[in-house]
Amino acid sequence: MLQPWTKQKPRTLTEVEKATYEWQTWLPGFGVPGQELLKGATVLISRLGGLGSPVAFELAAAGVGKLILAHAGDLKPSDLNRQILMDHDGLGKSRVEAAKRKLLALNPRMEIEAVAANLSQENATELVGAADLVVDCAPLFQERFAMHDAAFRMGKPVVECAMFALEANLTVVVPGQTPCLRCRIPEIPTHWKREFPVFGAVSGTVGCLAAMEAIKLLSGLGNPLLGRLLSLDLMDMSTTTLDLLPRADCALCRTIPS
Amino acid sequence: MKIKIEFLAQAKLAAGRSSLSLDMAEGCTVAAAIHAATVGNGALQELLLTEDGKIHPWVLVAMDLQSLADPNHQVLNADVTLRLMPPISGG
Ligand SMILES: [Zn+2]
Repeated sequence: MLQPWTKQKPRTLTEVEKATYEWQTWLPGFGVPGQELLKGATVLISRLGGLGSPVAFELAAAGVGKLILAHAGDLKPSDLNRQILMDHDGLGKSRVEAAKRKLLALNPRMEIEAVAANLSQENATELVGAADLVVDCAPLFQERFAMHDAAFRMGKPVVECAMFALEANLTVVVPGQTPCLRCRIPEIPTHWKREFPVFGAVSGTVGCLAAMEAIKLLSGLGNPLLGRLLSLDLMDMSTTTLDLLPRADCALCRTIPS
Repeated sequence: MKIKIEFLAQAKLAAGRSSLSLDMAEGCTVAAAIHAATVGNGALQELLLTEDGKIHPWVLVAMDLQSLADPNHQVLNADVTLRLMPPISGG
């Protein structure tokens, strides 16, 4: 019996779906029950940039039943080196709508809710509340805090990924079981700039890893990075996994009733 | 005692190197080691330390592979590797 970290109900596969996902259902410990859990799941992805694009693409390919995509704004030339759900013809047009079209071309059986807004304190409760799992791919800490605070209140797991230059981080936050984002980053860092150096191959690498963590959490497969932070440096291909500790005076964690 | 410091993300750029070896007095704190590692490099110091010499609350400090809950008061062990990671949010 699979034990997912999320609370969705499995949904029965059609014959077309059984054929589509046949090769991944051969995986021991996953099988058709794992696939049915993916079909029953709703995942919120905040932003569809260099990270969120491959996350959404891999989750659509893997057969997740529904994606909620939150991303404001229109496509600019400087987005095209990494935002792989977009293409040249979409310049000047809505990014989230372009992403929806690309994902439905890959998987027309899935449901996609395209929200042309970024995560904020105003919409976080509604968007996070509609999902079983959140994948945090936001470029601003204000958005990350809004998303993590809402997920924490509602007991929803978050896959948190981020990159800078050729380095990337990945971890999983499960409220009440792991340190939260605010344990590690209690306030908005003053040094972070909205624009950062990025190759699509770097954001794509960590996006694929984040998608796999989402699949593991949704299906109960393997050991997700709960309370551990994977640090990658593609400059020298080194990896380090750090154990994270909760912060004793964390403003968010101390709201959990003991 | 010998220790090693590894700089990650923006700290690596500001330091211009990925690591540094230091000889520190026994019983010194992590904050003191970071201060020693940033002497003469204002950009790196600003990234890691506040004006009054404390470690910024958002800098992840790990001693070997364990993050530190209170790095400002943590005493260093000999032969450790300190990893200093300013938060990143590139998406
Ligand atoms: Zn916390």
